[in-house]
Amino acid sequence: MASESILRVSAVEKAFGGIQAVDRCSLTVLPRSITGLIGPNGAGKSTLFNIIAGLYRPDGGEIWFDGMRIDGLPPYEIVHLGLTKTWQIPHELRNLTVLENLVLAAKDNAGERLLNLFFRPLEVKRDEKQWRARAREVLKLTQLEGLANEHARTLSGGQKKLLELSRVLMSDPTLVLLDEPVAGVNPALAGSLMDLIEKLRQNGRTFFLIEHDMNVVMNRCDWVIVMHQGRRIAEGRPEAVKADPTVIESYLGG
Amino acid sequence: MIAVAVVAGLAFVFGIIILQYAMGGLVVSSIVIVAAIGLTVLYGIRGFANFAYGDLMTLGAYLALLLSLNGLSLVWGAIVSFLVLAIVGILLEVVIFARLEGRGPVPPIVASVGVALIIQNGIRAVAGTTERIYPVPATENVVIVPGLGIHPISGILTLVVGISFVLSAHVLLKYTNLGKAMRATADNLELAKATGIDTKRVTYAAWVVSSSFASTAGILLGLGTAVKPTMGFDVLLLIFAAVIVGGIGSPYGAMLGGLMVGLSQEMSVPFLVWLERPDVIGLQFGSAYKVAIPFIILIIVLIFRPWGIAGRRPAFARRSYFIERITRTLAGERGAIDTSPGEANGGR
Amino acid sequence: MASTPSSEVAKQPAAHKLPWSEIIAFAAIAAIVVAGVLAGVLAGASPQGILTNVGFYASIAIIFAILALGFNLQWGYTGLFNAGIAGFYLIGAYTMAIAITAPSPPIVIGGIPVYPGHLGGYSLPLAVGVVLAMLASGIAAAVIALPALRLRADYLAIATLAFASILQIFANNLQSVTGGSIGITGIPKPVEFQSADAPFLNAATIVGIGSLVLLFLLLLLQFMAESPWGRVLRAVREDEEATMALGKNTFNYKLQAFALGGALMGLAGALFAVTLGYVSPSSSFAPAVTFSVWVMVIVGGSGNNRGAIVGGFLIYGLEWLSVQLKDYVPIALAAGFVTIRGLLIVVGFIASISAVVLVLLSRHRPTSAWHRVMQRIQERGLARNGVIGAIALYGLGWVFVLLEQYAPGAIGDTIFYIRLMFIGVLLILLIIYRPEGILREQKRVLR
Repeated sequence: MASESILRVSAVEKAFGGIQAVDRCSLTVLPRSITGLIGPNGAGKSTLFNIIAGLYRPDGGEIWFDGMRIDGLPPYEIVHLGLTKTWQIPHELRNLTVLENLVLAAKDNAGERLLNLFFRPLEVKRDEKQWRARAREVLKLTQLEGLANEHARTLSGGQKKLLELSRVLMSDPTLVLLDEPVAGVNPALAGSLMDLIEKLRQNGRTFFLIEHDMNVVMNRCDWVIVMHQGRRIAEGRPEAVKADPTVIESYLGG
Repeated sequence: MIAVAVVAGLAFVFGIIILQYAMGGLVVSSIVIVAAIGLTVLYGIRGFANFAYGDLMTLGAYLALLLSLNGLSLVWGAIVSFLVLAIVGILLEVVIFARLEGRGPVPPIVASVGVALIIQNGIRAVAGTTERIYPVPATENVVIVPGLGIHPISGILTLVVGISFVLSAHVLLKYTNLGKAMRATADNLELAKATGIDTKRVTYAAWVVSSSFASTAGILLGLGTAVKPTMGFDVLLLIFAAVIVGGIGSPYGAMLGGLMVGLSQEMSVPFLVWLERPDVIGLQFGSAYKVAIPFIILIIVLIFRPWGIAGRRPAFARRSYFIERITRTLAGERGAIDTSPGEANGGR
Repeated sequence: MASTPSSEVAKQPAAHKLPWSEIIAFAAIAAIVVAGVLAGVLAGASPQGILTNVGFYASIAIIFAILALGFNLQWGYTGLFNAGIAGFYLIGAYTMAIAITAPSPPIVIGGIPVYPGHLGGYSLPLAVGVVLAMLASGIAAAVIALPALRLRADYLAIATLAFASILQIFANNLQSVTGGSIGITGIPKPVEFQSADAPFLNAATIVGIGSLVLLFLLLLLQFMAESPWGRVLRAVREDEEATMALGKNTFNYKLQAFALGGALMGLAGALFAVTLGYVSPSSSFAPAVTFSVWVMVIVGGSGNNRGAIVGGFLIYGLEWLSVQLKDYVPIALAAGFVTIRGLLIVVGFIASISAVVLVLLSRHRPTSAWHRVMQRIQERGLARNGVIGAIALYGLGWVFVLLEQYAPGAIGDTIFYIRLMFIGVLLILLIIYRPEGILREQKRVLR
């Protein structure tokens, strides 16, 4: 079973100044799934995502992605391995244009290496052209193409969420961690976002998402994992988890 | 305690002359401590490095000089200077620094450099660049034991004033409501606001404490050395070193940092003189390097323990690049090193 | 603009709006030069002497412009606040001096060491010296960067300031290497002119070489800034964590930007050594230099390379001008003292009356032309700034008059201090009200 999983979190712990945010948490995510991660506020979900993505270093435990151990690796390496994460509060680059925001998400742009600027100018030109074209495609997919040359700070909240998702698509990831992808987004847009995610899943990607919106969780996730006080307390199909008494208690008591 | 034991041990080994240097170090430390407490209080509450602090010290020293040259005794001069500087501090906050809130760590630094330029050059324009000394009676060193003397004014008085200021700071912070409010704000601004503490008042209090301590430290410095326009700026880095070594925002850290900085600077002199010997490395002007010693300590602290002695270890701390690189190579792990920020940020 | 593979830079549709700020900036620089020349003429200097003086201004301004470009790369583009600019400047200058000067053994006269000698004296060609200087500063920057770049901005500032101070101490005391407090003299010029015109020709060559270097650097930096690499730098400045999450090794980028900026500062130092002919641990490498460069970049707009150059010429222009005026303002003042004071009083009187009238009119007659004038002044920030500037100049006039009256002869040096105070005020005003600088940054649009 372990070798089937695309992500395996094994007894990971992380404390912040005396508070144990993640407490020997273990879970697995199967490939080509849309797995939900739910739990009351403060359960440690976002923290766990940050740890998986390499932004925090766990105090203990291991994290395995696609057969490789990734805990302790810096974020940029983890991205290169195919694991991307979006932010709960969009971290768009405010004074850069939407197109620039996207092109930056490209994984291998020759022009980003200093020496290439001078020694391989043709390659630089080629890569840049190619990535810009791809960025436009992605923008079409998320219906943001009209905003390509606007500065990212002019976008509305929903558009910023779309931007986050677009950037994820640019880097062509295997596993995507989505931190509240549709929070604060109007239901119609949320619907199309999740449709897009479903389509991408069918292309072979895996999605692991934190969501508080129970509609999304119930209707879109194949599998749900529940966290409370830093550890996994339940998991299963959405309907099963919904009815699980331990889960209900954690939300009420939490 | 450890420090005392170390010093005593050194004294036995190298002779009483070490105690003389230690004494000098203590005197320097007192000045640094008073200044550092002022700086760290402002740094902790207002959240920025005040590059004008040295020149505030200079301003205090010159004010006292002006008054004492015109007939007032130096003590009165010090008191007036104390009060005037307090007002200056509040003015600075109201006119300049309140407008820079929430703009990040860099704008206040730039503005404080502007203030420093104005104060220092204003003093130069008005009072000229010649060195002055306070009109105090010239006295001989008081001899404690043969080989160990201390000057009554620049030595004993400095120590006494230093200690009393430290004590009053301690009393203020620990036993008064205002002091407790100040400590809470320095600890966590949002939480303090949420619990209803009037952070505006705390901020003004911080400026008052900061600038008035600066004025006293400046006067002590002028007593010990000379009064010239660059006197404060010259020691600015030294004060920063004490504050950072001790932990930003912690007055007790400032005391420890000040001790470390002052003692290390003075007590490095015999070592540096030893380096001057041709059979070692023949370093010329060894003792002139003593001022570099605290800077080196500062840089080392910034590399390995940026939150200082008494500061809190930030939540996302990672070990330094060097240490990681070394341990990783030794452990034969992959070469990638996590160099993300969030480290070394003193809890902010 | 250079059209690069990565973007076609399009200016805002500014075809109809004149770039007022740029025009004013250039006009200010021109005014400074003219004023300096006038001062020279008043002093009875020869035309050639005046030209040499202007040439000196241009040379040093170019050097400061290069410093500003380096700092702009570090802070304007990447967000690294370097308070130790003077340190890298020093390394460049001393490396150049050590590399290209002839050997100078210690000089001992009558048992007293008059000159301690210095390291080097390799008499290498100038170009090699420049390369070495840039390498030395660049490597020093990289070494400092390794531990320091993870630090928060204010810690970085303190650490770099400490670094620069340590360097100054070493330069002053490590006598056998650096020549101690005397420094290294006799640095060869690019071309050794022998004629009586030598100072002028030297200045001309330096200005010539310097301008070419500056132009080349500007084009190069613009190219690099518009490139994908430059884009990552801007992203790092904007939000380093987000950039990391995009898969960039932000530390590498910061390191590269910092090291390159340091190398540029070393280049400036090398040029400085050659222009001056000597290096010494003097005020040329004091923290005030670092602060001046800050002003230059802030004035020009952080992230704006052309602005950095203009800022350099402007701010150094003030310094140069204050040197020129130092001797002549007292003379002029002493000569026309009574007239000037009278003038000031009259002007002040007229101005205050008109101001009162304007205010009263605008309040009671909202439709009057005066009211519209007042409104226009309030809206066009430019006109308001002009008014404020005029008031400031007026105040300055009074300061001079009073100083001359109560402390005759004090004015000479006071000009320096007032200039520095002015820079302090400028720093504060700019950082509060117009941190984006005076020159508007061109909007980059990626098509």
